[in-house]
Amino acid sequence: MFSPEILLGAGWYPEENDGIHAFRWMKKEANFFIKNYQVTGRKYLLITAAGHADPEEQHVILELYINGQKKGEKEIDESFCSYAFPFEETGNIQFDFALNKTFSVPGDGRQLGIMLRRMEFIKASETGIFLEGWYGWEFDDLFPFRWMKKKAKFNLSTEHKRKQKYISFYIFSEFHDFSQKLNISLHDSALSEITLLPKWNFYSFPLQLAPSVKKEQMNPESEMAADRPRTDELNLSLNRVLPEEYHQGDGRQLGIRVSYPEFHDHDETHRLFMFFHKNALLNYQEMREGKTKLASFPLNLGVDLYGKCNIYPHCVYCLWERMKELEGEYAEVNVDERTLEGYGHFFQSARLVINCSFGEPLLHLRFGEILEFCQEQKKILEISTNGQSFTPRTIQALLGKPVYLYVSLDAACKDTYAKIRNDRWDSIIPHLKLLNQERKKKGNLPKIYMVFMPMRVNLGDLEAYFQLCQIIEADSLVLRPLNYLENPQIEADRGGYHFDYEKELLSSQELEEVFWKCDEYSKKYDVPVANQFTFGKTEELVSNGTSYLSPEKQRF
Amino acid sequence: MDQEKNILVQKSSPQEEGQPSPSPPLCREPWESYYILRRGILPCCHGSQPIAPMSEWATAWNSPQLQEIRFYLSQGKLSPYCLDSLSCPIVQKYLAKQKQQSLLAHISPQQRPPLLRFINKLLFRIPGKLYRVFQSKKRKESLDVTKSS
Repeated sequence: MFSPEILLGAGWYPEENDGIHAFRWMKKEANFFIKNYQVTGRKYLLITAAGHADPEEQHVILELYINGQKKGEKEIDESFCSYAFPFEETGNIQFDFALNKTFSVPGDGRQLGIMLRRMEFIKASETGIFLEGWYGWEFDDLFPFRWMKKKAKFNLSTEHKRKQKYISFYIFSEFHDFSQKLNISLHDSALSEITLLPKWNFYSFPLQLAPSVKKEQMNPESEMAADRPRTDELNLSLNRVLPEEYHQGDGRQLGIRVSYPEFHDHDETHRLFMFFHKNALLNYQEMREGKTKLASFPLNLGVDLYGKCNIYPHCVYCLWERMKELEGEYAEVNVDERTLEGYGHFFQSARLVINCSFGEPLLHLRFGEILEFCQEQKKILEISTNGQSFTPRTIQALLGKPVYLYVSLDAACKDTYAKIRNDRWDSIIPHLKLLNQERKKKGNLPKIYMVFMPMRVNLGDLEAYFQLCQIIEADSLVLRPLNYLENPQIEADRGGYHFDYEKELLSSQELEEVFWKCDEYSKKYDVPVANQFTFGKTEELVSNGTSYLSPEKQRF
Repeated sequence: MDQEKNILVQKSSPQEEGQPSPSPPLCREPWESYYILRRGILPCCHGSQPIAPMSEWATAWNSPQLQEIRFYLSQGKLSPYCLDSLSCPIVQKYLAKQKQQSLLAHISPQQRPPLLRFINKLLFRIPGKLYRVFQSKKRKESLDVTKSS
């Protein structure tokens, strides 16, 4: 748990393990030592600690003394959270912790204070360090993230700040009414206050120097500048956090989810973010006011990347012929990253770019370039694929990109697959396994959503489809409706099966049964279900203890 | 085609307390989304017919047809375009509800189960009256929608 140079003194209980992390209970007072610590300048003692739920709601306060001098105090949360104590001492140092209270559990004679999971020392010159007000890393969403409390601190070295003009994060806000605001300040100077947009969004903030630091930097040789710690704490604060009713059973103070910070000095990236953000606010305002002629641009842009498919004859339910007729002269139009750029404000304003082509996008010769461009432009991409065109090139292009990849199989075995598509079943699954294996090295991106359209032909495959999702570790099984068509007149004989579109559509009663079974299998195989039949249903935030169903997922 | 849009209704997501807000539109899609496809411009992933050819992407965003769709939705109604888009789950739910209501409206008092009639009688026929008031309100609402479409 502790780095080797830390020598524990009195006041600690033996190390325990909660199954995932090791931790140690502290008594009311405890101490530890470090010897010959030679790092000069400002440093932080960074601890990850948790208190206990107190029925009298008395907060647990932790005080830190260094060589007998009080250095600070922190109110300790019930859940594991980070806390930072700055100090400048060197040599042999004694650290003393003291708590305002302890508690005991019946049957356990110990005097329990707080739990410490981690203690480490960091130099203030190390930039990009989450200081305090952050819960642990979580990895089950689009981006790895840490929940931020109402207030948090982030370390920023002056060195870094001199070189880079902006700091950027992906931030997820739970508030859909744009009522959550983030304030960023450096020392006492406000740098930025911004309205947070719902769900995952890219943000760029200017790192203007505080006036005092600016003044010092104008005369870098001054004694004052040399004495002053070459560091800056970026203070983040929110006007509001997620109300408790939205995360019952989870005692944490949940503000926003924040992904890894990045520093940049691209004025154009910042300008595009400012445009995007301003547009999103205006779009929301115009929607709420019921305006029909809009000055804003859409937040979701549907595009048509590729108009050709590698499955012929086409899937039995595909409206290929009708769509190609509709496309007419545009069927051969080339769409690539330059086209997307050419959409101007329509592309710049989009948070999400959705490919809706009647064609297989992975066949696009510039597939890699398109994905690179979208990532560069901070766009999240949604792509549906039939899964038959994975190649080392397309897999490589997808890895590490913020892409929601929908894989439409609709069958869990060779026989059913042959009835709706063709006999290439055996080649699909190994590629999906490979994609899953490789994405683990790249932040678990792309996200893999396995699509299942319930029809009469594949009803018997439902449970096996969940098993398949479990094997390839899909992020979710997506239930997608077979489009309702009046008098579709689509029939085909394939794989020894006569497919009649009209007869394949399930009644609402049959669909209810499918949903009910999905609930059961979802629990059994631990595969989340995203139900697109609920389009138009009120979005709700649901919590089950500490894990959240992301509204991003529920959107489907 | 992807169909992953949802409408985010404020009621159930956290929002500013004590600030009454006007009702959001029935569906947000024509404000938030826009589809520039080879088959044409669509206001929503469930759109039945393109509202303009692909080349008119710059102007179709505020075209009279799209403005009309937004107008109906902002009034809490489905536009004629929406009602033609039968693959939209919102439209499907609306049509199913309409069908159910018209079926119920055709059941005469004599066709109602005897137990219900007995309970109604026991309670001085108040439940029946309340039910009729409720039904007529519903019919009026649905008539409004039909008229406007």
